[in-house]
Amino acid sequence: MANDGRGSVIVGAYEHPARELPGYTVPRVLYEVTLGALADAGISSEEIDGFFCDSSVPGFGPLDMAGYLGLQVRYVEANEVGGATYASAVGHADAAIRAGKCRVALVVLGGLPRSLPGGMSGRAVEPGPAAPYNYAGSHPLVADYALAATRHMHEFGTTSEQLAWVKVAAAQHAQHNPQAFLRSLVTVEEVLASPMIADPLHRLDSCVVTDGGGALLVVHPDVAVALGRSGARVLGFGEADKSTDSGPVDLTFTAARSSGARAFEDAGVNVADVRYASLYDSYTITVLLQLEDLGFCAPGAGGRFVEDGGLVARTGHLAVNTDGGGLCNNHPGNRGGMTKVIEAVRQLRGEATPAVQVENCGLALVSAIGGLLSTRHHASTLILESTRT
Amino acid sequence: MTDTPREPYLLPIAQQTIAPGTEPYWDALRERRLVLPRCVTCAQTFWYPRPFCPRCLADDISWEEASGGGVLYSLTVVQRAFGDWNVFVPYAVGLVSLPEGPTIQTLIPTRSPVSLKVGTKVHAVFPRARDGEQRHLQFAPVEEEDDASRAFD
Repeated sequence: MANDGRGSVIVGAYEHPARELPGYTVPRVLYEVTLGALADAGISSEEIDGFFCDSSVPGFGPLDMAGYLGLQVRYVEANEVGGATYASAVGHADAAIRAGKCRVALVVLGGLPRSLPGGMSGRAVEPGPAAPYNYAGSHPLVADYALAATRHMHEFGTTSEQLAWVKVAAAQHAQHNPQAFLRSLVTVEEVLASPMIADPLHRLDSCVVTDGGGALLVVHPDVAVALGRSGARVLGFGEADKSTDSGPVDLTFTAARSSGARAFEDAGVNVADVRYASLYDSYTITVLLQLEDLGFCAPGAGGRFVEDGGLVARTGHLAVNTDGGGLCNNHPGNRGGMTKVIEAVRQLRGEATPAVQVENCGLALVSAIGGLLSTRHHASTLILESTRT
Repeated sequence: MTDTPREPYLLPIAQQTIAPGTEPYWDALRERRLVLPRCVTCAQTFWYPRPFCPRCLADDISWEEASGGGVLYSLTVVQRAFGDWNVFVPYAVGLVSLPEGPTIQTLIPTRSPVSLKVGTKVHAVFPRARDGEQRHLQFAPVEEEDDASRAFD
């Protein structure tokens, strides 16, 4: 829909402060992040009438979770597009609110990959019909992303050093974040010296594994005005899938090319207007591909864009993941989309850590990718505007 | 990174559940043949095997013999893996472009994972599952096809 100034507003955005939660359950995490988001917004739980979660929650999904939290909702959704779920949920909540189906939507994530036995988060999942053909059990997830990195290097000459700069920039941001899982600075050399997981991706090209989660409250614009709490208005949203099934592939771009185009058209703004971007950073290559796909640089030029601190707030070409991202701060439950939205909201409110706050941050972009780049993945893109006057 | 000294061709693929309607693919693998599903209605080969065409949803599928040849579109050498698989590192995973159309993700058994490149020519080979009668599809560099096949007897 065209940008008509009537988009829903994210007025609650809360990231669980912990990165390890031994002895917790996922429902307990959801309770704590819900409390945090409600306090942030200044809303009470009785006002929540929409509920959004992912498919990894225990029990009978959103019925059990909304029930556990004592909510009475008239709009409910269990969405599942991997780590992109929470960005996608914001777009869906906005649509539901615009359609008059709810006024105060809660979006939640909780995950415990460090603390649950076996490192699994939520319930076990039966393999899908593609599993015997993708040998998904035979290699770590990182191999799927490594395949995209190899191809990008082959076609465009992207180097390991350039990929490493994505991590180096994230660490420069994380040093200012007291909650970040990894707070130390790293150099390009240290990234390249870290153990190789699946060539060309090293351990330090990979996101952290953390417990925790977050919650968002997405509300009708009239509710936001009444609260008087600044937030992030949804200006545009797009989503897309991309699959390698059925024919020739091109791994040098992601579904963000389509979801981004849809979001920009929806918002009626252009990439040059974006002051801050949260870009999904499961791996360094993921960030580089999104920069190209969203139009921050030309296809193939991502390596040059990120090197020499291109993604560092204030001094680089574009401030990206100023909380330290999934690469250094937090990637709770192996799903990074919630923290991507949260940092964008902080930036738009002027509430990011001062050392990384973008001046006059009026427009932000959130890009999230879920699934496997080399087999099937989803992208959600949100364009958000500050409601600060 | 040195070449692996271990049995390079035997990687522990588990027995997989065969979905109804995909038996022609799996039966052919047991005979060390690769057949690919082709939709009779829209006349295109698709991947992965299903009893219907993912483009047009028609269920008239013909299973056609493939050449077995392919080219590496991309690859990675896994150097750290979980559980059982860590014993077999370094091992290669690739995306193989087939002349018949599909691009297939498989293990690439080879004595020298570091010698693989984008563009390396590969050929289908058919290892046994570690715990059953199935054979699976992998692609080895063409010059190693015979060695790999012998290891899979």
